[in-house]
Amino acid sequence: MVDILRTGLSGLVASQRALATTSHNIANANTPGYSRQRAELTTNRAEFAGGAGRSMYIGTGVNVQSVTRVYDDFLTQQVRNHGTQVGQAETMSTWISQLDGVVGDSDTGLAPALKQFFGAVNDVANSPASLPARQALLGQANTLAARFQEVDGQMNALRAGVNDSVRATVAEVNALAGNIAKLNGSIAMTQGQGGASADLLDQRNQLVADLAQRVPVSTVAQDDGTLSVFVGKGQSLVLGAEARVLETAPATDPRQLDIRFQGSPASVNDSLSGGRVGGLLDFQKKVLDPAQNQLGLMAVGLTETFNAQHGQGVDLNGAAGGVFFTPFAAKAMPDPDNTGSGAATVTLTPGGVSALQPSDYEVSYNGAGYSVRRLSDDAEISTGAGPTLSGVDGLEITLTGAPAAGDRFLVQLTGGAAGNLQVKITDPRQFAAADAAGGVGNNANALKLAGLQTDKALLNGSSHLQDLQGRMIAKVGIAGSAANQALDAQTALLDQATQARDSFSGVNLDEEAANLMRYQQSYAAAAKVVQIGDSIIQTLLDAVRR
Amino acid sequence: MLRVATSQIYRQANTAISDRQTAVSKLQQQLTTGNRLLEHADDPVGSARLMALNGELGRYEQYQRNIDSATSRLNAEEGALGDAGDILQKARELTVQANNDTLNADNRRHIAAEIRQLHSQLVDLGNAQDGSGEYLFGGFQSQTAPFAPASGDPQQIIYHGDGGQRLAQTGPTATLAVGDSGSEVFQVDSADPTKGLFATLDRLATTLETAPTSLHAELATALSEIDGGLNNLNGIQAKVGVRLQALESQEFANSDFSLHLHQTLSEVGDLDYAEAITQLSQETLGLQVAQQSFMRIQSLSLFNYMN
Repeated sequence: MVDILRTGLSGLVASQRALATTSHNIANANTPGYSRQRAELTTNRAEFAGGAGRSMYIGTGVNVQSVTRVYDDFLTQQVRNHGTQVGQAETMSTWISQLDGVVGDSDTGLAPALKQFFGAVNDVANSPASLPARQALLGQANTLAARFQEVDGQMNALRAGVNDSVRATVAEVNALAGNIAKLNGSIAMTQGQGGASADLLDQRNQLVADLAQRVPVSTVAQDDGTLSVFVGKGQSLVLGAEARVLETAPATDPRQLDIRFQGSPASVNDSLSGGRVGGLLDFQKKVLDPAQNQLGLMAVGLTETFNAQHGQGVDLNGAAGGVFFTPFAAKAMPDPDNTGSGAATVTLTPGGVSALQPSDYEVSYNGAGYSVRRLSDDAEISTGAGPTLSGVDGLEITLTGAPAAGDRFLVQLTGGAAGNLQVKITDPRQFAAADAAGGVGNNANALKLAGLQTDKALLNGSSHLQDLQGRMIAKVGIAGSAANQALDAQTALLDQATQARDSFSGVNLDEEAANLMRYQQSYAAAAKVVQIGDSIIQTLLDAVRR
Repeated sequence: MLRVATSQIYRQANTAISDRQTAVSKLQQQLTTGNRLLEHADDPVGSARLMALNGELGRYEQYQRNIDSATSRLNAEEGALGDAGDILQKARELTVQANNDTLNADNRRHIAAEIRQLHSQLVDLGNAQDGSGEYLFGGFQSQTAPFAPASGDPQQIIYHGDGGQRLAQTGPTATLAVGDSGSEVFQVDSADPTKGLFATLDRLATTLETAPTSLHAELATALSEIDGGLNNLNGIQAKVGVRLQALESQEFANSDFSLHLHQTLSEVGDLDYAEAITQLSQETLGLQVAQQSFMRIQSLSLFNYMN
């Protein structure tokens, strides 16, 4: 008799828990990373109510065995991995799109200034003795130099923006890693008390997914319920309740950042090849650096070829042509981690400009000799015992002092050149329009200078100045279109993966509405059972009272 | 049967609507600017091509400027050469006239005075300037008057120019001389002031003034020198005419090519309006459909029927 009350009560409790779970699902329908939960019902153990020979078991109701989450690790990992890809593609696409505006087109940027400068040279060729024409030429030369500086400055601003983003993203990675470690601690503790909370597991997965948008991660689940998180090529970021901290430090090229683990000098830049951080580093290395070097090569190429031809001429005062644009000095920067006392100097050899490439170079010392790598294509282009290394794409590197094995130097000419383009001459009479024969009406050298606009004197005789700009634009454009395509493709894949995950784990409100009604009904029914149980007892008591 | 989570419905609607909006906004930008390429990434090769084409177009504009400047200079030269020819012709007629035995010394002195007048006109022509104030016949010494009287002998004209000849770039590979030096035109020699047309006219005038016994012989010499000068002038005038013709045909060739460049530019960079407008109506229709279907679907909920 009492059994009916107990059975009814178990139904009440089970329905209540199922209702609570349903409400939790409804409440979290929009929570990112939430997996719907289900109250798993089982029957209570039946009571043996029969004597010998007969088996009679009477059911004793229901109980909620567990609340489980509907979760599939593979589907979740898919979402996480595609998130890494989308993070990278999106970052690349956004930054390249900004650079796209900086490199300019036929109407903005360098092209009009270059056209007007050579137009002014032509105008001087048309009337070489005219001071107004010469004055206009100097004006256009200064405008051109200013435009080079401006475009270079905008690229440097992008660089600074990239570095700010790297710092901010690394800070986010550290915060996420710290939170994952904390959750690991809580989960390990609840695991010990008989099973981790579904919500904590979901929260941790969401943090790992957020982390994966920033850096490429892999995870290993441990027996104690904790999740080990590794970044890049298997460097551990979170182990149990402990997280390691990433930090940023200036690289050899002071315009760039190295990312490394706190307390370890080795840069992990190369292994962070995905996520937003990977996108930022890739943008800098594969798009911004080449573009700025191309711009620099244009500036160096203009300066060297124009100065060389200008020096062949005679100016309005009858003096030999001087330096028109201020020549550039190449830099050799020692790596901050160098232990030796070696130093390097670099010069552009006479006529070397035609072999010059839009790239930085790294000189490394292995204890016996030097090796020079061109960074744009990572090719070793020269080796030797020193002290002079020649044949480095028109550069000559001289090493002095006592370097230690492993010491490195970064050689840079085209990298920052465009920002330093300057017109040297200030007196319009100093423009050497005449050839060696002289004479104020002599325009022979001006004609040759005007011809430099289309003279394929650069990149080993394959390109003129405007070709270089075309190349720069095409390169940025191709990188941009590749990034946009990758973004489209990866976004589609991420959508698919998210659909698959949500289809399995996501909350459907109609389903929950039906469940609400279902459990409400069963609650009402169980209450009825309790009522009937009560009335049976009343009936019995009434009978006994008489 | 695939389960659908409620969040999926919202996400799908969001994606569909924002994709369409992006497409519509891009088309709108293309339509308002008339440019097919908004970013280099849209068509990197096309962008680089546009850049090269525009650069080339700019150079052809520059060639046109060079041609204009050369034409004006050569026109000035042609005019001066014509005037010089007239002067020599006049001097020739006077010489022939003076050779007549019926003339007396007075008559000859008058003719001599006329010749002196022509001499000074010819010096003025030799010092002719172009539109920007440069001397036409000074060679590279274009800012010094090329012909000036010697300090000791005002009748003797010294050439201060040189033999330089300026060139103009009128096409990608075409250059053209935009002048002739005074030494060529007036047959002078800066080292020997007794040579050239000025010396001839000076000697002629002196001969007529002094009437020596060798008058006829000297007049015959002067006549042959004047004829030589006229021949030379005619030759140079013909060269200048040929250059002006060459400039004209170069101008035609250049403008033909510029037109071609413009067409190519337009093919590469300009928007196909018909296509873009068709696309725009497709995309806006798509956007409307996405919005309407979302409104319909999101209003369906079992909760609406619970009370």
